[in-house]
Amino acid sequence: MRDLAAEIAKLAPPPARINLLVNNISSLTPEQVSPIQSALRMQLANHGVRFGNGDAADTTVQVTLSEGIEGYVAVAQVKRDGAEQVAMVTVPRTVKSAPSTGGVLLDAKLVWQQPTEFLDFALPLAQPGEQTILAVLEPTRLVFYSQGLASWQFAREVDSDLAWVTRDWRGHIDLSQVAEQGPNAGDARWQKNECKGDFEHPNTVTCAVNERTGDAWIAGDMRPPFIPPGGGDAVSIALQCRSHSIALATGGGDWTEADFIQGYELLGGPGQAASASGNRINFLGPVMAIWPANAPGAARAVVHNLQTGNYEAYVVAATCSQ
Amino acid sequence: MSRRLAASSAIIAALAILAIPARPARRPHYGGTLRVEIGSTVNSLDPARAAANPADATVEREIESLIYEKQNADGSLAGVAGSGPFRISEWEPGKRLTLAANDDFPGGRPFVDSIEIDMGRSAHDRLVDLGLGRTDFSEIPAEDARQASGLGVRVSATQPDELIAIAFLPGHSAADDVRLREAVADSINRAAIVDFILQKEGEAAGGLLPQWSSGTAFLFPTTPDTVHAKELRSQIAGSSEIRLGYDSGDALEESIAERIAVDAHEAGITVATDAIAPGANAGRNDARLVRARMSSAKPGEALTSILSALDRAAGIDVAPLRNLDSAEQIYAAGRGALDGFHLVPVVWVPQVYGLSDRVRDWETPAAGESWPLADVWLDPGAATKN
Amino acid sequence: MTFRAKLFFVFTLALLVSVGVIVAGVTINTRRAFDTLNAEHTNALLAQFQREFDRRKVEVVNRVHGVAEDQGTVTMAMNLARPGADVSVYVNDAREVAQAHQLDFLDFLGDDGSIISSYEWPARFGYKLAWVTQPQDWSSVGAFLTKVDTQDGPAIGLLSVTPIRVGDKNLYVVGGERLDKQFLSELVLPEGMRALLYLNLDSQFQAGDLVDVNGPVTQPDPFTATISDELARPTERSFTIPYTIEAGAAERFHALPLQGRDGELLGVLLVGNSQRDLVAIERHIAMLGAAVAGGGLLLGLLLSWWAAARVTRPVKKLADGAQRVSHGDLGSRVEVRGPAEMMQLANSFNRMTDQLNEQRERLVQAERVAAWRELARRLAHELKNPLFPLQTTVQNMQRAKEIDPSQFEEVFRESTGILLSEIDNLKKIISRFSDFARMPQPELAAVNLNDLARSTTKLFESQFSAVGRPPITSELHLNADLPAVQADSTLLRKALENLVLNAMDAMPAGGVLMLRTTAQDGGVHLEVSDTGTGLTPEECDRLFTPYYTTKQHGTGLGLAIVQSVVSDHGGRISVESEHGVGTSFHIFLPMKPPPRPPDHAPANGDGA
Repeated sequence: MRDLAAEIAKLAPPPARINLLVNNISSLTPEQVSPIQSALRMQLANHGVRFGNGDAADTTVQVTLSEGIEGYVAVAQVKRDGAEQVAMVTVPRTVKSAPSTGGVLLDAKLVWQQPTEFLDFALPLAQPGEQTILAVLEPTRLVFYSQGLASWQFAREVDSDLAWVTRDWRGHIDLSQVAEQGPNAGDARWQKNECKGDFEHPNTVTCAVNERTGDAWIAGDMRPPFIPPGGGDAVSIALQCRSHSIALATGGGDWTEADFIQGYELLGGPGQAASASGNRINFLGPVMAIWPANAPGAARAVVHNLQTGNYEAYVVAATCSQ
Repeated sequence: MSRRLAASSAIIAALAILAIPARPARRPHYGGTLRVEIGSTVNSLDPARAAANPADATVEREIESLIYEKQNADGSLAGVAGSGPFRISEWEPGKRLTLAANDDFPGGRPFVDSIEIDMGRSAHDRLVDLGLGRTDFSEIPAEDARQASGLGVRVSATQPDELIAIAFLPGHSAADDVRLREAVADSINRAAIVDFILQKEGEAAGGLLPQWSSGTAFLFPTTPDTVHAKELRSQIAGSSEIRLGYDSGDALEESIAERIAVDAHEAGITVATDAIAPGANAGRNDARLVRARMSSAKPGEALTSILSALDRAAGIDVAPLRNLDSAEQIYAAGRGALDGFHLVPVVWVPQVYGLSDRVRDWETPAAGESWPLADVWLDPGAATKN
Repeated sequence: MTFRAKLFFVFTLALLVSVGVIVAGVTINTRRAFDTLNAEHTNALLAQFQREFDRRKVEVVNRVHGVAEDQGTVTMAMNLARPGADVSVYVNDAREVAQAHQLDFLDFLGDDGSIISSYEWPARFGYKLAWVTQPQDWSSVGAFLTKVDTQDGPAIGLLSVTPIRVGDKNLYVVGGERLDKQFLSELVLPEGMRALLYLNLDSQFQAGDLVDVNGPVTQPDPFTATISDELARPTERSFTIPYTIEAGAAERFHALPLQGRDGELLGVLLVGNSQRDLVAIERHIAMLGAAVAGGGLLLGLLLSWWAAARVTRPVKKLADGAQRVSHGDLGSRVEVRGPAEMMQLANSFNRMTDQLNEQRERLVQAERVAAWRELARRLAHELKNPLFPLQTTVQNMQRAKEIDPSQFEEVFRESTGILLSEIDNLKKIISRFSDFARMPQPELAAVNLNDLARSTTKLFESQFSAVGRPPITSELHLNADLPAVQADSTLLRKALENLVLNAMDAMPAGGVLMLRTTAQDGGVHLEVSDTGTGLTPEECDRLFTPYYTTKQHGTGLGLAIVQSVVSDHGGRISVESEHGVGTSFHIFLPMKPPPRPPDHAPANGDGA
């Protein structure tokens, strides 16, 4: 809004008195629009713009909050003396969160996205003074990125041979198995490939082919804590809410449908009954993979954004709202 | 152990035995023949044509994308025929094409074993076959989408990514007056065309990009201004007849052309519609309806491809657009292209597909993407008709 | 024109007039009968049209009701009555329904008159037909004619409106049939009749809007004026279109205006009757009349020829006979066969000629007797004159012998002189009589009267200027180019000399004697004029009578001789005179005398 206010101020400099009208045609909720409107007014005032209504105004500024494929677009139509000038700014979109209803509150943060498919990702816990590393497991390689000033920077990749080509890629980065080897020690498995090492230090990660047949990535207890309605997937996260263990589960659609992640309170007992709790986070495509995150009370999810076609990595953090 | 416990234990046991955790989505099934029906007839496949007009979205293009290895960034095809997910196993040009899955495709074998494509099926017949379950996949005219849904057909529609616009042809005196062109543009009731002709499957087009892509389409007005149109008409001396051509094989274009004629008539402008045979020159027409599909969802790329396709269809040479990095630049370029009303956008139309119930993992292709038939699979457990 | 020709003309004229009157009468009556028949046919066709029209109206109303009662339409109405109803779903419904109910026009309109679906103009959805929503009891209106806007242009249709009320909303069903050539094909037309329909879709006459059962009329131009009048002043009217100069190509039309609900003129029904049959019959009558007239002419010709033969021949014979009688053939008879009247006429003619002949005989006899008596008288008169002196002289001689024998010698000598003179006179008189009696026949030769005139004048020149008498001046006015005539120059000379002598006798105090010759048609003219004492009219009448004279002396035969000569030459002589002024004798001689008729001269004429 700061940029937009600056543009508007250029087009209607003082002593213009403007009639500001805000219209929302995007997917933003009224609760989201209201603070935007207030922010815009404040920014305009900071630029010395004066406001007026009806005949008191000599300039009408119609601000429309719109939305395109690349994000939100705020458009200002400055109408003065029968002429109209247009200014606009684009704001990248964040994931929408369904309104909270108490219980397990979820918040998803987009960590990484790329146009090609990836199977899993991991954010090793960064040690003080060390760079944050992002490991991304793709069908043919394991790639490490380091956090730069504004974005992730490529660090290292480890190629692998494909044992077979499939349309049903599976792979997993597990940093929870060999904790005694370091907080970020773990392995990444896909097909017959297995990479081990300290994922916080990519150079320490080595890969080899595991001759075991079947999907090498399958290991450990992969049982879901409960069977979510619709047949989706569920993972337990280390979180208690209202005396219940919390699990996060996805919806039951296929790869062509938008998906969500919902928090559940595990009620325990035979069959592991669970009750949906809190808000649901809606995504623009199917959740391809969901795993517990390194940090407690969080999970990581790989989403295929059907609108942009990108594969996105989210860290979904859960908190308990009583 | 209670039955309920036994049941849940059994499930868990089964999962353990299988050691395959449930995926967030159902797991694809390999096998089966995907039955496809198309309206046009394909007599030859020519990657050279695809290279020459990479933005052209034709059925041939869709088929070529299945049998060639990949599509380059510029839209041209790479590899040889059969290097793609499928290869041709049987072909009666103009009648039927059978594609067999390519087990050696580097990107992975398709889930279905084969695709059978029946050609030359009318829109009505395709709809009936979808309703009766005789086909798995077919294109549906956008204006029939609602009817298809009403018939119980599973419908998948893209975002409106195909623009239908009026292109005034250069060198025709009847359309040389900018006031006349503007009057025609002002008279068109786009909302009525979307509601009635397209049955709400589409979007009124005021600019050269749809709202969902650019976010700024609302800046281009779409409501008719018959008063202004009449005012402009009154300034024009003499006859104001315009001959508007449309593709004779395109029922949607015909309906839109007829409606434009009705709207223009209300403003005092005579628009005579003229069916043009496919491939024929629109020489005697002052304007014609043209279609242009977005080659990408991204507004900058889409604008370039849209303008290029429109101008090629109208026989106009246009300088390439530059500096399309920001929304403002894209908006300005689109606005500039519409100056003079040589191009008058009318409506945005989605691509609509009908799918049988057994087709899974169908992802509606985004603008510029081909049919993802290599990624779908047939659910053997789905209820089938017939 | 001969009598035969006149008779023929009269017969023919009478026949032609009769035939003409009959033909005209038949033609007029035939035309009237045709007109009556045509009027009946026209009225019957108009009545048929009206019945068909009414039937169509009922049919349209029923069909539109059928649409309104259709389950799909009722469902549509119910759905559209709900708040927020989506009308776009039904945009294509009209087509199928219209075809199912065999309607040419069908519109579904919303409560505000907006078109939801239109069969005749599918693209017109959304636009309003305001007239439908005007307050109206459509059920009582029934079907009506109106102009309908379609995708292909305006048309005329028979429409009906049925509203379907659901709650407080109406769904209007407006449907109907097109009024076009199809409608005309439903009419049963008698032979020679046809029906046309003009659809008033424009403010001015448009040729393409005039249709018959086959579509647009091939020759619309002749209708331009009448239909334009009809558009300006709609009324029932009749008119004839000639098409070509041929009468049989004409067509008589009756125009019936077709009006809409508000009285506007939407069309004109034209019922046409070909005049071909009428003209054919009239021609047939005319040809029959002509044939009859021709036959009559021929008959008339024959009749007239026969009648003339029966009438004119006897008349001609009579005419010929009269001609012959006029030429002097009083013995001419006419033999005639024919009608009694003609025979009676011929007999009368014959009796007349017989009588004429007898009278002429008697006249001739009487003339002869008169002539003899006259001759005798004249002779006696002439002879008496010289005889008296003879007697006196002899008596003187006797006296002298007896009284004075001495003077007897002298008396004898004087008396014998007197006796010889008188005897000479007697001899002259007798000679003259003898000459007159022995007037010879002319011996013809080419004679130039100019020469004759000159020679005669020269002969008398010395007497013109004789001593002791006032002079007489002679003038000759002779035509230099006078042709010669066939005549006897001796006789002519004698005649001319007699005329000159008479002229000299008429001018005792002198004067002018003028001779003039001129050429005339068929002959020559000789005039002998004097400036003498002149004659009275009575004297002119008797002038050429033998022995008539105005002179104290003379035998009075001179002019008779002149007349005889002229008559023998086939000429004519006349006299003009004025007492105290002068006298002119005019002689006309033909170039050649006609053949001499039989000689009726007295048998003893030359024995005087």
